[in-house]
Amino acid sequence: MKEPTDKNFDLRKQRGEERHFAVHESIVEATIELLDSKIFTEVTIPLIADQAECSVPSIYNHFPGALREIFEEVSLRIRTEGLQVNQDKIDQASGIQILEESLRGLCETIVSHRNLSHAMISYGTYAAATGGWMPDTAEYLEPLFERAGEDEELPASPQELAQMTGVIGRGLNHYWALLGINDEEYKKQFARSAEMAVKALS
Amino acid sequence: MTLDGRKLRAAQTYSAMHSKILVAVRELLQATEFIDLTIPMIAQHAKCSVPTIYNHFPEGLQDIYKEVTFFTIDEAFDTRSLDPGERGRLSSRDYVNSLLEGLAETILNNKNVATAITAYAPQAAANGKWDADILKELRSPVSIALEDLELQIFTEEIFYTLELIVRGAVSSWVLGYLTDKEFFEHISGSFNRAEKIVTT
Repeated sequence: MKEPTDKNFDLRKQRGEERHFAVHESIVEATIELLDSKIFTEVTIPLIADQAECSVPSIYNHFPGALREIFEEVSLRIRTEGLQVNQDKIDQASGIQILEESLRGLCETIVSHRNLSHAMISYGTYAAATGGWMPDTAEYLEPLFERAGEDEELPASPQELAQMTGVIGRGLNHYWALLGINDEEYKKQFARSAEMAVKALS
Repeated sequence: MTLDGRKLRAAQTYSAMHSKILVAVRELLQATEFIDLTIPMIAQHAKCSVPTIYNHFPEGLQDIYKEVTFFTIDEAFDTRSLDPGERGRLSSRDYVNSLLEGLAETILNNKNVATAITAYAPQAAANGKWDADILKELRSPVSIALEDLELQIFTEEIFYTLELIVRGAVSSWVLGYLTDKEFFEHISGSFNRAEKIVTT
C-alpha cells in the first residue's frame, strides 16, 4: 500500500515542479514581450502578471527581488542566447575569429531585441546602484581568448583582453543606444571589438 | 535704463539660481544614490521652491542630470587646461593624456553623477534631448597632437575611438565591472589605445 502513495506523491511533486517552471518561463517571456514594446520604466509587476496570466504574489514567489531580479534574468538569458547563437561557427573557428563569431551572434541578438536592449543598458545602471547586476560579459569571453591564444600569439592576458573587449563593446552599446551609429555599423564594429582590444593592448 | 537694469538684475538672479540648483544636485549626489534623489530634496537643498526647479529644468531630473554632467566634465577639463604658453616642455600627446587623467579623477570623485547620467542618457536620447558630443573640449588638443605626431589619420577617426573607450569604461565602471584603478587606466590611456586601434 505504501508504494502507490509514494508514487502519487512523486507525481504530484513532479507536476508541481513542472507548473513552477511553466509559470517562471511565462513571467520571463511576458517581460521580454513587454520590454520589446515599452521602455523599462513603464513595465510594472502588475503589468507582467497580467501579460503572464498569473497573480502578482506568484511573481514575487518566483522573483523575490522583483523587477531587478526579473530584468537580470531576462538580460542574462538574451546575452547567453546571443553569445552562443553561432556556437557551430565558434567551435570551428580559430584564433581571434572565435571571438568574432561569438560577438557577431551577440550583437545580432541585441539588435533584434532593440527596445529590450536599450532598456537593459539603462536598467543595468539602476540595478547596479541597488545591489548588483549580472556577471561581466568578460567572464564569458576570457575562455574564448584562452582558446584563441592557443592558435595565435596575443599581446596581453586573456583576462586583460576580455576586459578591454567588454569596455569597447559597452562603448559601442552606448553609441548605438544614444542613436549615434546605425544598426549595420554597430554590428560591424561590435563583431570586431575583440580585434580592437588586441590592437589597443599591443 | 531702469527697465534694462531690472532686466539685467533678473537675468543675473536667474543665472545664480540655475547654478545654485546644479551645485545643490552635485552636493546631494556626493552622499545620495541618484535613484534616491528627488526634486523636493533638491529644492530644499538649493533653498528654492519646487516650481522654481521646474521653471529652470522643465523636464525635471532628466534635464538636471544632463546639465550636471556637462558642468562636471567642463570642470574636469578646466582643472588640467593650460594655455599653449603655459605648457612648457609638455608634449601635445602628454597634454591630451593629462586632460584625460583629469577627466578620470573628476569622474572618480563624482561616481553618482556618472551613474545617474549613464542611466538617464538612453532615455534622454530616445526623447531627442541628449547632446552626444560630451568630450568636445578634447577635440582641439587631440587634433594638435595628431599634427605633431605626423599621423596621417583623421581627427574624427581617432576621436571616435577614444570616446568609445571612455564611454565603455564609464559604463563598465558604474556596473561594477572595473575597479577604480582599472577605470583610471582605461580613461587615461584612451588616446594612446585609440591611436593603436586606428593605426595598427
